[in-house]
Amino acid sequence: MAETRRIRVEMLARVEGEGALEVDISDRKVQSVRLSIFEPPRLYEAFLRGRAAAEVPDITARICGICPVAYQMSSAHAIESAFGMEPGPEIRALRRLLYCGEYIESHALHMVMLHAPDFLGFEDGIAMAASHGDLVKRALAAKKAGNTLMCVVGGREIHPINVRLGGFYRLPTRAELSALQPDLARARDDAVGILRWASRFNFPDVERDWELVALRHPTEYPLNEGRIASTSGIDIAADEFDSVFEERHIAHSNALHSVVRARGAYLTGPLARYALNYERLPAHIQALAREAGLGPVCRNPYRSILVRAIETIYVCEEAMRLIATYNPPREAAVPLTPRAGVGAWATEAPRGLLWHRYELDAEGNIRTARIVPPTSQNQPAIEADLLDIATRRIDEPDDVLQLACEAAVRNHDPCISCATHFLKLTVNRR
Amino acid sequence: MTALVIGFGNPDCGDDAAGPLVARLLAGRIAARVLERHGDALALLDVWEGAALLVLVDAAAPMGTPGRIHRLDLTTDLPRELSVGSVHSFGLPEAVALSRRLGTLPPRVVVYAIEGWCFDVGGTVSAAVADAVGTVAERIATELSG
Repeated sequence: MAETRRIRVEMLARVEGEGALEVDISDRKVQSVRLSIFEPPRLYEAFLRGRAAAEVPDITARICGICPVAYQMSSAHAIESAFGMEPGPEIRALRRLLYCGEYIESHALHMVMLHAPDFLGFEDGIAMAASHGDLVKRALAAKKAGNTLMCVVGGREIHPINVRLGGFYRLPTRAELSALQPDLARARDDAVGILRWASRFNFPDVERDWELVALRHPTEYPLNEGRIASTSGIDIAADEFDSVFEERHIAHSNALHSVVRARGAYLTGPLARYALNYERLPAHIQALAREAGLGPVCRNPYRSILVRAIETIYVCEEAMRLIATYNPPREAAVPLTPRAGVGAWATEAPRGLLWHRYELDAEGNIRTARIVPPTSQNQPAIEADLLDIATRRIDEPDDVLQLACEAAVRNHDPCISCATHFLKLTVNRR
Repeated sequence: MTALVIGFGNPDCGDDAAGPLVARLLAGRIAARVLERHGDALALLDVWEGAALLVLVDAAAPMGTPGRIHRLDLTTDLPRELSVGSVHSFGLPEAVALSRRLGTLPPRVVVYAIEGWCFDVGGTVSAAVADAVGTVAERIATELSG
């Protein structure tokens, strides 16, 4: 008689936003896996129409509480591109510094409070704190350093308010930035401690053959700019995105799925950035990666915690370098002259590529807006990951399979709020 | 070792201002540090470490009686169900629970929760909550002077 099983996770923990995971199993075969995002559509792209370009960085920042800088950066760069201007090297450096703060904040929280409990058998980071208090304190201290950097450059730690088209509303002083250096140095050392701690975790031995997609920049580890590249040969400018990638509506999800037109699912995020930009990391950080067991490419999603630690070390050092070389521009923002046009830009949010495209009228008002966040791009790859796990572990009890699926989702630090914008798991066995 | 009062909430989100408004009424009036805070509650762990007594004042979700005052003498964690549900922005229940496990929670913690009605961005404080703000301030002042 055919077996029918249904496993249902009403709320998948430690993932941002509202969604569900449903696994259908019949005749001892996994028939389908659906990552259903039921958080309501937030309609940002629609209500940006008609708004003034200057409002866009502040509006889009509200899409996400953990990566608002990514939204501000992608939108500001895209609109500036449409207006045919570049804000100059000093503004560029200050934007990169702000982005470093967001990475420290986001990665420190995810590595220790959201991801590490999966490897150590704790329900969450709070339960883990009783026996791993030192590491939790180190992560919180690192996160605080990121928060403070965000406050000084961005005006506040959540939803910064100091970013504008052409630059900033207020420039930080050298003294304000220099005061951050000791905490950033400690955060860097804490990230090294977290890397060495996490490198001793018992990682499942899996390799995924995803196409990895990330920005690539000729000289630096990418945050704000670069060409969109992949491990299968994509090498395009941001305005060519639609020629290579396609967004598809999927019935079970309120978030669009993105695929490479020619090949299907792909992955953005830390693993992709690292693989495509390993040679952009300083030699001593590459050595730390090797010491932690990482090669130049990592295709094991569980080891993404190590890659996040490497990136955290990098952005702490990069922030310190940018502060040490800070040269305040003459003006906080370069004046913009609106013109009709189209601008597209991609930056690297902590959880992956964030692409924006705006069409503007001659007065600088938004005619159309498109936003493709990392989680919606990663959904097909996450579903493929889950299908493989459910297939390999089909005979395991429902509660064990459920935990394995939840952990697999958390490997990717998805932000479902961004993609529509959490998670129920349902396994149907028939 | 001192007493610390933290009014927690966003002053620009209607009744969420209850905590900060209580703090403003108490600042300079009582023998305790008085702070206003909002946003990521994890940032509070450093703030309250070392205090002998911690009084947290926060707005509570509507439960049918706007302005109703709940006083909790915390010997255990706050129910996690009270949290607002964003893993990227920890609320007071998570911050208290984490601090207790890290050994940084003050030895005595009192929570005043004021039931709110409307938490709209840019909204004003409802009349019942405004009344409760004054009452809670008086009760804390009395409690700390005893």
